[in-house]
Amino acid sequence: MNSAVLVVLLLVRLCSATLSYPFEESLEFKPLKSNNLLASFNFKLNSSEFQLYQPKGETLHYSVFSKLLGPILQETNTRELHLRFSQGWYDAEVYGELPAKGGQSGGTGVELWSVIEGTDDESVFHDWIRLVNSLSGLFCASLNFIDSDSTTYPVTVFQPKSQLLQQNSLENDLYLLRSALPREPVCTENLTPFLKLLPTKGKAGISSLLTGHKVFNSQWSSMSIDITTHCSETGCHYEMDQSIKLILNVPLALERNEMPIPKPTPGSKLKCDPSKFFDAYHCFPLDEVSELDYSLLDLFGKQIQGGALISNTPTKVCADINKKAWNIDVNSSTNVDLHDENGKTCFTITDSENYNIHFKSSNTSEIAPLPAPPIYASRSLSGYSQDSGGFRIDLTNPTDEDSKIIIFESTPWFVRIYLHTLTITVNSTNTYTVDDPEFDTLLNGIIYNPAIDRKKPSHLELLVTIPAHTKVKLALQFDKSMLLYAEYPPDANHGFEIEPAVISVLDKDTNDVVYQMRTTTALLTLPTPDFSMPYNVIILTSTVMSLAFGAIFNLLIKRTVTEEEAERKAKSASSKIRDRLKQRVQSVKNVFKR
Amino acid sequence: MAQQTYLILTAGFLIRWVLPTIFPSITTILDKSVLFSTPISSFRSLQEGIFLLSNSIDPYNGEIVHFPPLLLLVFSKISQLDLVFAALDTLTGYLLVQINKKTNYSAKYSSWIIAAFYALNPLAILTTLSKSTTVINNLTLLYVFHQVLSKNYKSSVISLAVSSYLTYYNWYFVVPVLYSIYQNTASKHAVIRSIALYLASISALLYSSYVLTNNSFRFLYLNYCSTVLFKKIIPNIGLWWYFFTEIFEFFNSFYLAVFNIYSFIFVIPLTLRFPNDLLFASWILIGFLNFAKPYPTVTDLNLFYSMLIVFKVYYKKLKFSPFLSYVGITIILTLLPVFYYVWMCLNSGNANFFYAIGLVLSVLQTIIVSDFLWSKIQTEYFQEQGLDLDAIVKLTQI
Repeated sequence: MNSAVLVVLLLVRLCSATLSYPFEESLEFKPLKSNNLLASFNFKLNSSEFQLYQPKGETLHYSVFSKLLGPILQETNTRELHLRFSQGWYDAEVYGELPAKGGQSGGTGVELWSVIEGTDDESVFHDWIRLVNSLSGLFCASLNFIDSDSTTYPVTVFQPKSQLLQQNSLENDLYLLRSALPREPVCTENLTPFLKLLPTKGKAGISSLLTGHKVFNSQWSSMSIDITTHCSETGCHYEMDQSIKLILNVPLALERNEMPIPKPTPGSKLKCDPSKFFDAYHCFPLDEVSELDYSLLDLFGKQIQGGALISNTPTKVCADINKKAWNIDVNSSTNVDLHDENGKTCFTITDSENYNIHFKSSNTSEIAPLPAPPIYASRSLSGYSQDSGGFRIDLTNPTDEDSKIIIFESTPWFVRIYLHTLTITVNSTNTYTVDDPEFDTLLNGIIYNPAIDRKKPSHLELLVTIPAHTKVKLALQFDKSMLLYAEYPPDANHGFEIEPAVISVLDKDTNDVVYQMRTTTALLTLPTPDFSMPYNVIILTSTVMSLAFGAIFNLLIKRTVTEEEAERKAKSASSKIRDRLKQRVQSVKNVFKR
Repeated sequence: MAQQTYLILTAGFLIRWVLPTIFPSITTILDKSVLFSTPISSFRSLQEGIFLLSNSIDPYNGEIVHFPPLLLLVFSKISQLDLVFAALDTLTGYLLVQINKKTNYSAKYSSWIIAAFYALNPLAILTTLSKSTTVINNLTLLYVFHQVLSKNYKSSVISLAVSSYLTYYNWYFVVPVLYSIYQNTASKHAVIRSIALYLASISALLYSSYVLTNNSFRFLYLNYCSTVLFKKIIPNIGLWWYFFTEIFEFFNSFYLAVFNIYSFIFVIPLTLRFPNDLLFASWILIGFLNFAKPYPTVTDLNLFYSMLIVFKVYYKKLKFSPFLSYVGITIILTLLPVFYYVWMCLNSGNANFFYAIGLVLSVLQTIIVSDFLWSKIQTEYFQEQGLDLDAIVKLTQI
């Protein structure tokens, strides 16, 4: 009896000792201007150690690291993987600087870059295609459409994050490949596999808040996965950072709870501006509400269902608020210890109770200081015709120092860029073309790989210096190719998405990327043929060609005679035929006479 | 008389030089027009090539530049492009005058008319201002004809090699040139020597290009294969583009073969049919190629319609007078950009409008070419029979 108790006790002891994995999760809320709320979910986990060059057939144990991802990375020699799913528009003037300095957000659609080890271009590209196909199945995204015509090899940006490069233990070279799918709609089916990679699987911890219809109702959302390989003397392990950043417009989210089907606000609920005339038919709505009271249950439809108890550090939830105007209250059956951490109000979750956070504010416009981004950028298409156009990138440096930035652009092959048309306009007054000497002081370097039809996209990296408090406009012209009949997607007149330009601000001294942002995607319309015409075109073109051929052929080959001569010949020919016919008829008659 | 000719040519030169200096945007406008530029010959791809070359980016890495490396190298050294293009086109006019002088036709215009016709021809002026490299192609071809007429066979063969190095379709003219050499020297050795010379010059040009592009043959693909295989499908005034856009990819290679054979098909028959007038045969060939080749531009048409004035002797037997042809062509050439604009910019018409007018242009050219052929055949018959050209004899063919 005693020994049995001892064994049970020992087991419990053992389990509690081993039930702690290298997993960390944290959630942070930050109210922004105009009643927006930034929610960042961060997850960090490590795999157990393995050898980089594992003999085939050996089994591996990944611990909390996903068993789905591990073999894919091993098989394709992927040393680093970065995946982004984003949607919506990030309005930097309202939301301020991107969370994590833009290091964890992508452009609209799906973005993927990875560092692959290999001997030559071909084998690396082969691995890359296998990688994107596997990931496509894993994340239910059209990553399998990534091919050589959308893959670029960035030179100055997207550099590997881990220190793997400095190590001599690598057997082969490292290659950096990148691709983006701007047309991909990010949706619930991408979120579900994303959560499945976590050891908590979205059932416990902060990830229990995440449900598809709430996450994608946000103004802007970005899911990111960053996997890096780190090696020590004993072996290597993967480090995975997963994050979801959301910007929710709180009044919109609350309204959606009340009225799932959007309807106009009933007159009784309209708040009109009392300083202006209003009656049953006229109303100038008041500006945004300034008093708000909401909870996680309102925003996510759920509460935090306990902490991630298998992790070695407890789940942490923080709120970055201005305490003068905001009040936070945590509802739970256990006592919650709210404490200050770097000016943020935080608490940890160490049990499996439900937690709900109440946000209450008397003046929502008073928020914690919002750092402004070091750069504002937007890209637009210029030109009005379907056969040519131009890119225009507007950059503003609001800081007090000159800043060095890199513009990374990758455009599909059917955009035929003319780099010599590049002009730089400073403060909308001075325009410099490529021949001007001032041009080189602003544009310090160009990396350009022109496109190859149906095989390679154009890849452009521009190193630009923007003086302090200056607006710079870059303009570039291009032609649009026509595609073949079958190459147009359904609804060809919708246009083609051009992936966002990636703008990276560099550190002055070290040239490391300190801030990164993406512009919006651009919608490009291409010239379209008439899709109902193939048969007609073949017939008409062939008719004209044979007409020309026939006319010239006849003229070259026939004998020239006078008209009388021709008639005589024709007559003699026809009379001959008549005689011959008569003879035949006569012979037939003779047969019957007998 | 000679002074007058030079005066007119100089005036033409000044127009071509001064106009773009006063209105520098005119080149951009013309270069953007579907009539004057194709991806193969457009001025903006030439500029792009020069820009890439001067920034030590390999222009043959991508698929924007379709010019032979030597041409690109020459242009990257030139700073006065307006002047050069004006000079090149004036030279074309001068060659036309010389060719007219050297022919032995019974009826021809005097030199100053030819000079005025070319120097003041709005079509020729516009093609110069568009700065498409086809201008150079026209010049080299006329130079070849000029050298053949002057019986400078070596130089004609070498210039033909240069010409075919610049533009793929010009090697077709090897046949009439060689035949003319054979006719005049009556020796097979001369022909073989000419072939050898042609091949040697072409190889020299290609080899120097090969060395120039860092020992890569990619320029061959970009210059010639993209023309022959019709790699850049962009609307133009020819017949190919809509056909190859619309057919299913499965048939692509078959029709490429058919279209290429089609463009070559009359080279030998024309040479054999008109051995006494190979200039005429070559001219008809130019006219035929204008709608049988993948990337025709108005600059190509310009060569045909400018040379038309040399053949005054055949005007008499034409069904449609050259004036009528000019009016027809002018109308079509005005309609083409209109329908292109309606399709590309206004979105109120689709590709079929532009295509249809392009077809009409091809039909019109067919009519003009066959009209001239028939006139030539009639004139030949009259001469053979010793009849007066004005005699009323109705001819037909059987």
